[in-house]
Amino acid sequence: MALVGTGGSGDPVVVAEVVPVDSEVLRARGARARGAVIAVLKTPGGLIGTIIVAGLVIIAIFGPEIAPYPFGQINVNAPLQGPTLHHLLGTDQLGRDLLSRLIYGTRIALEVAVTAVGAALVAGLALGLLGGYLGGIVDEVVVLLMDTFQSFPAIVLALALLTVLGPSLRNLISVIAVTFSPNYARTSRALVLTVKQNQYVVAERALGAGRLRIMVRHIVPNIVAPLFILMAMDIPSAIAAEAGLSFLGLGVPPPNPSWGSILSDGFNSIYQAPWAVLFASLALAFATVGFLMFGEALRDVLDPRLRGVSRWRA
Amino acid sequence: MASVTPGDVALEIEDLAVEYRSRGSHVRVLPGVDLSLNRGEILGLVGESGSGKSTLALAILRLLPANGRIVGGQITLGGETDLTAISEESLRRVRGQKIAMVFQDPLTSLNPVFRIGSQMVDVQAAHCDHRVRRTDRSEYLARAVSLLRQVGLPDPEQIVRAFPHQLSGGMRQRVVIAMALSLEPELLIADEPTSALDVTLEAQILTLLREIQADRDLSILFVTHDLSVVAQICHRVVVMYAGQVVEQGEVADVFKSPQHPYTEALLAAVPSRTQRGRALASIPGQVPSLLGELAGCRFASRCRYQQEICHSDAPRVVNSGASQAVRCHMRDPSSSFDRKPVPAP
Amino acid sequence: MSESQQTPTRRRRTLLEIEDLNVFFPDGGKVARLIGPRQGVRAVDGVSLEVDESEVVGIVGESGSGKTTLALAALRLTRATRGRIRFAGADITRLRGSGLRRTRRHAVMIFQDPHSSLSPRMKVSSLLMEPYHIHDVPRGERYSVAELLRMVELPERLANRYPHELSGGQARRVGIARALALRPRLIVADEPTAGLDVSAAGAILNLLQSLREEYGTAYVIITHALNVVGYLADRIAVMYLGRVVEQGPAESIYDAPLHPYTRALIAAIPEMDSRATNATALVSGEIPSPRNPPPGCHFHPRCPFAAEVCRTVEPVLEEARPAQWVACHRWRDVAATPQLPDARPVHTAARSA
Repeated sequence: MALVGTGGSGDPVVVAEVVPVDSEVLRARGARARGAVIAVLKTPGGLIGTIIVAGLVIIAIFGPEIAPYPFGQINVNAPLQGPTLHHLLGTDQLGRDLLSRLIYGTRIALEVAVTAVGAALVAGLALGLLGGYLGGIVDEVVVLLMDTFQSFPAIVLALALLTVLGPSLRNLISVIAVTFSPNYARTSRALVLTVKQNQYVVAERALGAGRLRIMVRHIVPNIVAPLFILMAMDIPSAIAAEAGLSFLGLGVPPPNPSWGSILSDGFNSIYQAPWAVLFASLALAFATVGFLMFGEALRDVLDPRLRGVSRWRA
Repeated sequence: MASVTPGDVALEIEDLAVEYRSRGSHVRVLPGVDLSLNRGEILGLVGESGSGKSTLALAILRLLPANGRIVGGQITLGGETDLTAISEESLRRVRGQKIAMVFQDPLTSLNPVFRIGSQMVDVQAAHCDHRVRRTDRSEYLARAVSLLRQVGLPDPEQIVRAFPHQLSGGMRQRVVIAMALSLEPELLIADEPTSALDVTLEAQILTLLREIQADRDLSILFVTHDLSVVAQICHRVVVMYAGQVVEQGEVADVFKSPQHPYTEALLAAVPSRTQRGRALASIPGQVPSLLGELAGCRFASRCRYQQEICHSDAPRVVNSGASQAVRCHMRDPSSSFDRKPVPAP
Repeated sequence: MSESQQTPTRRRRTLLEIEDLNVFFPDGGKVARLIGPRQGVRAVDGVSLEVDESEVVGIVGESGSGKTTLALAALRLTRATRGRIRFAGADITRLRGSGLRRTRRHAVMIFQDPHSSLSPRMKVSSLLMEPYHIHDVPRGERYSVAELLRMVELPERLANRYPHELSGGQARRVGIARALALRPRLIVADEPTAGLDVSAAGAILNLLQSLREEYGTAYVIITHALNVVGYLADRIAVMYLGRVVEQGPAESIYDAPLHPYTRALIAAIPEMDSRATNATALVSGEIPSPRNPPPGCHFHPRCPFAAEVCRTVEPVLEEARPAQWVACHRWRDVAATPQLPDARPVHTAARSA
């Protein structure tokens, strides 16, 4: 970033590029970041959680490459088979390879969960910010809206909305996002109310900053961190929600292999070939527990540290 | 202020070393401090932040935080007890009874959920040898009331029934002082007792401390960063910098002709109307980091008289000036400090 | 460094004018305020003050005096319940929007706690450039980050640090640099040396002094430390429980204070030159809560000169000497007394033998 100054003479002078940060501070920042990562990996929960999450993410990204069969390939000659060499986890009632379907299911689960919770965060943040900072009637409306949404049990709300809107990937994500957003809105609003009192906000007002500027540049950066942690803790719930809704037939439409739909298909033949139910349940359990452990470890490490900015001077 | 005849020494600190453990490394905050507090005197312990004065004060009663440890030296109370070596149990009997401590913030020194009277009674009861009887408690309460009156609080019978948050800051500080006196200690450590108070209140508390000291022949170690407070109330003063004692002596002498460049710079840096229009002497640079080895004089890089020798050799403590002991090459006749143009002390 | 600042003989233009300012903080919520008598804290109780161009005015008071609230109200950062504020001739009491923003270019504030007044997630360079973004200052008229840092004697490498990576003194200087970026005509500094070591404090005061000499900025310095104000200020106003009890040229306030509280403040400041002074407390008791100030003269319960009239009638500021104003019924007696009598024993009851 080149800076132009007027020196003393009044003629514009290009002053040098902003000098890079001094090394001691860089080292301190690096050490802090490394320290956080190491702290997460040191706890047993954190280690296992990180491994599982990393594994799931890799599976999700490279799914199409590693899946042995396309998820929709029907083979009427080999329905409901148990684990064999050709089909490592067996097949479903239409002869589709379970392993491949579960792999694609991972993609769906993660995609929906992360997108939905991410959207909830953004929406909740925006609403909480407006309500908390502007106060007055805006705040009343936001609170009323969030209270209304939260007063419905999430499942009921999701079911109702999806029945009206019809099952599709986009609707699924939106509906799950809606059920999660009140929490973000409330948290964000509460954080805004405290941060609003901080002296630096007054200092910015004293400089003449307008409301929008203060909200975007000074309030948001100082409240997002706890929201991200909430997000890490909400993802397992979102995974379960997606699976549940798909199980009920209101999630991703067939033949998309959501774990939930694999489960519901598998229930019909649970006595002859329990493989679908077994493996789909295992996948769901793994993913949920893995993300949960990861999120908790993250929270334990970051939460207290968030407030504790250390003075680096000896 | 009449100087105190050096009677017995109430507290002798010899070569005290304290370390803090921080993220795996050890910081030697106090490398080896010598200090003595005479009976019946008020000794000022002065230093800026990072000087180690609070660490020293806390170390006396072994009240250091969990990551701090005394790693060397001894602290001798009354010529007989080494406080660094005695057991927890014995130390507990020393605390409050022989040595009492008053801290900066009276609000956090008092338990918010108990009444003042109850807290003052508890202090006395805790040091009772036998089982506390009801008659004991009423006796303690009566003492508490009397003490509160002695520290200048009006209506002490009301105050013993009050909770800390119902009192003002000045009243709380007086309560804390009264509590400290309740077991008739010989020594009082006051760690910045007036730093959080308004100027007029500070003057009152200082007056109070002076009166108490005179009445009871108490020895007081007064820790502060404020030189002017030292001038007000202390007989002798110890100046600390980066964990070391750099100068000590009679207050009058130290203030009139400071022997150590740091003391001199400190005195010159305080703003007053007599310096209007002139630049205040400020001390360039910063307190050195205590991590790692420090060669030579710790103040050298900020000292206006610094020379080669100051950076290479650590200065000794020598007698200098009217009554002072100072750690400086410039004042050490046996050092190779080039004394040609030396400012008259 | 040039020689002492004499009070200039030519009349300067008035820059900031505060007229009968009142700031009242009522208790309770919206509904409670409608019912029942107004209870609350009267932080500022009818204060009038003027600051001329290039002048340094010190506002001195202990806790509860209302000095910080006064400054915040004057800069429209907190709502004044009554009174007028004029800046450079324009009435800004109810000004809003872009007009108010324009004023903020010329009247800036340096806050008491250096760290908490800097937005924690912004680097120093962004913090310093922010005033220019807020006010759309064209590139050619800006100081560079490096220049601003140099003005406050900070090394350039601090530009990429975050506020928590700075020491207290450095953070304070960044705050000052930010205030200077727009070349304001008035700087309000709230306790500029609070919490700083003696050496760091001295450096800050030197800086403020040199900046004043170079740019001719007017200052309002808020502090409880009379010695800071004695060093920097042309005029001093002493506040007690929301009211100005004395104001005048710094010299006069020091050499011949007329209000008993001012005298007590000056005497209570430990002086280092006179080691023989055992400054006994010249005022007893403590500042009462601003919630329930004593009637009449707020100071009367602690005042050695208090008379019957002081208990009932509120004294108004009168010009006792040229340019020196005092709000006290007994100021003539105070002036006549060379040294204050010992404090009325409000709190020292009879001591047990």
